[in-house]
Amino acid sequence: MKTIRQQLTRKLLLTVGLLIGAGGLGVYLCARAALLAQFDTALRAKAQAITTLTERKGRRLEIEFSDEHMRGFEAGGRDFFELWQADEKPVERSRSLRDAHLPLRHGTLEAPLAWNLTLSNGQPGRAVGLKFRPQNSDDQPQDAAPADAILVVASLRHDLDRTLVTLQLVLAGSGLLLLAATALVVPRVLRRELTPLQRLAEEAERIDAASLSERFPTEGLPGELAPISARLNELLARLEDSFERERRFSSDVAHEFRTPVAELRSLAELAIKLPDARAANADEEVLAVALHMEAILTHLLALARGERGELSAQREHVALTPLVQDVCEQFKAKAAARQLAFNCCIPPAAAADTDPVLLRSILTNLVDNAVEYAPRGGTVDVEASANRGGFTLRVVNTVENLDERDLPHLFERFWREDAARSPDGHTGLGLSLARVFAQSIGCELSASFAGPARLALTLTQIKPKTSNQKTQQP
Amino acid sequence: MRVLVVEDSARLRQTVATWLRRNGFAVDTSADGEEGLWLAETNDYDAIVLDIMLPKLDGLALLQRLRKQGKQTHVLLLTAKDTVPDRVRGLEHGADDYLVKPFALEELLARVQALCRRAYGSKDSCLALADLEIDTTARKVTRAGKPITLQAREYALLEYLARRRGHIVTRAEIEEHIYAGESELLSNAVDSAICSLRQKLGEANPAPLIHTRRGLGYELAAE
Repeated sequence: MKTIRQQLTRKLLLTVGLLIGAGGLGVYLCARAALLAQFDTALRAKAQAITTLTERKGRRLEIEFSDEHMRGFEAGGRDFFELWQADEKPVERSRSLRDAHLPLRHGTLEAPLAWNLTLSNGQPGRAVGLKFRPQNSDDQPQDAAPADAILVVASLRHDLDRTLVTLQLVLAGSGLLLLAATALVVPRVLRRELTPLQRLAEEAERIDAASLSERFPTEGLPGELAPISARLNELLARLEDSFERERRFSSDVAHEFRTPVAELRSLAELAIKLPDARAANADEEVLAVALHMEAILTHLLALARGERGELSAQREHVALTPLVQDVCEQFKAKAAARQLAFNCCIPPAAAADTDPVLLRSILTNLVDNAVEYAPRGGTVDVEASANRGGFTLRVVNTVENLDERDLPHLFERFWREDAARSPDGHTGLGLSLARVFAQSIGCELSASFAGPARLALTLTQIKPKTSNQKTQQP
Repeated sequence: MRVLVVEDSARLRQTVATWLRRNGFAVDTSADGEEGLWLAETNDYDAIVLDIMLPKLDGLALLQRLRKQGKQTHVLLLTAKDTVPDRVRGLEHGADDYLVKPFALEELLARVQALCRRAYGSKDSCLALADLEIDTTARKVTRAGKPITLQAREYALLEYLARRRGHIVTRAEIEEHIYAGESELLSNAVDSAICSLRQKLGEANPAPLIHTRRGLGYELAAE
């Protein structure tokens, strides 16, 4: 697996290598050009000296040349020259050339031509060639026609080449040393500087479904990593929340289904083992258990969807008065059967911007609970009010065996005042579900006491939104 | 054997009671904790099958109050709570056994039988007296190696007498432990059951095992 450290090391080394190579080459080329220019200047100076010693005597050219004055041109010397007339007829050459000739190439006196060559003895050299006009000797008639001469001066370039090779070696050696030092230092520096990233990776590796409560450190992290760590922590918090919800859901499902499953199993086992003991209403009992399980399942799934924010509320202008009256109407018979005083108080033409389906579901739930749990002979009041700021729905009912300490638990899943399951088919999920629905339509559902033994569940719209706006719970 | 079943689910209560009755137990039932506690306090049960989540008074509170009063009746907790801390809490409150819903009726029966055996200080599922052998797990009776077929009620009576062998068992005790909850109990029901039992035991070996102690009751003995 490629690591950032390896990749950075590789790329840094490649870059440093290229930079050292380019730098070294640049230095070498500059130094070589300077050395060649210096060499050429020396050659030109020698050529200049020879041109000043060259005179025209009649049709002939003469050089007043002596070995003492021009060291290096003697036999076995390192310098060479050859002089030609303009018609390329050789005139003179240095003793160092012996029988050999220099190639005839030239520039002008001001801009002599310089080039590398291989001398007759096979050794490398460098030459300058120029065309010049020799001065006339004193005895030369003034009217004699002027004639040019061509001079080529060359030198062995051993010293120059040696210097250049030395320069090459020094540059290559320094480059390699620099590269080796970089290769040694860069991984260490990277390792040290990437330690926080390594720590972050190790922390991440340790985290699994069982340790979602752990958090990444945010203190002492480099500026680039601090936001990553913060985002990861937020992600972990969301994951933990989501896992906790799933765990609670599974646990609730397992717990709440055990009793109905036990009922089904014992009914079936008894019918198989003791066919004569099978009750006449056994099938109705089985159906009732199945329907109860279905209700728990439907409510749990709706609750899970709501908590995951998958419930979408479709807002529209809703006439509250008929909706509330309609819901109250459904429970009048049940309230009468339980000898409850049932009052529905709502102003005419009350309206609100909300989701009618979810609102009806919440209200049905609240009224159903009130009528179910109010003690026989108690009172149930349903009140509603609406204005521009939103609407409020209140369901108040008589209660017994309920006090202030129970209020926070009312909206918990499966919480029941006496810890027993309801024999009436209630799942213990109604108020949890009503609160999730309330949140999804921008309402708050709260519980309080409206007087002694008078429980009030109040639904208040928090932020009325514009019509037909589709919102999603965060 | 007399058992109390305290369970708020009517379906479960009825099926468990029917199952236990058909297996020779005398069963009382209750749907809430308060009534269950009153029944447990006022009767002498061999075992109690107790749900934890109950209206009025939950099962653990019931158990705690029962133990505080010094009642040592063996209790089988029946519950939907299956985590280790739940089980530990149940046992710490004085329960003798723990059964998680849903359960097999056979397992419930085996556990209730085991609790009843413990009620009479025996861990052995085999009761023996002279040539009579009773396998309380398989509910099979043999005498002199010959199997004896008994009805559930006859078996329950024989097992009860066998568990209290060496002691005189009164007619009232038999009525309470074998026929509890039966409103239309005939006055000679115990006598006819004893008679039928003697007859079936006598078929394998004529030596009498069930003896009448006049004015006191009955005793299972080899003399």
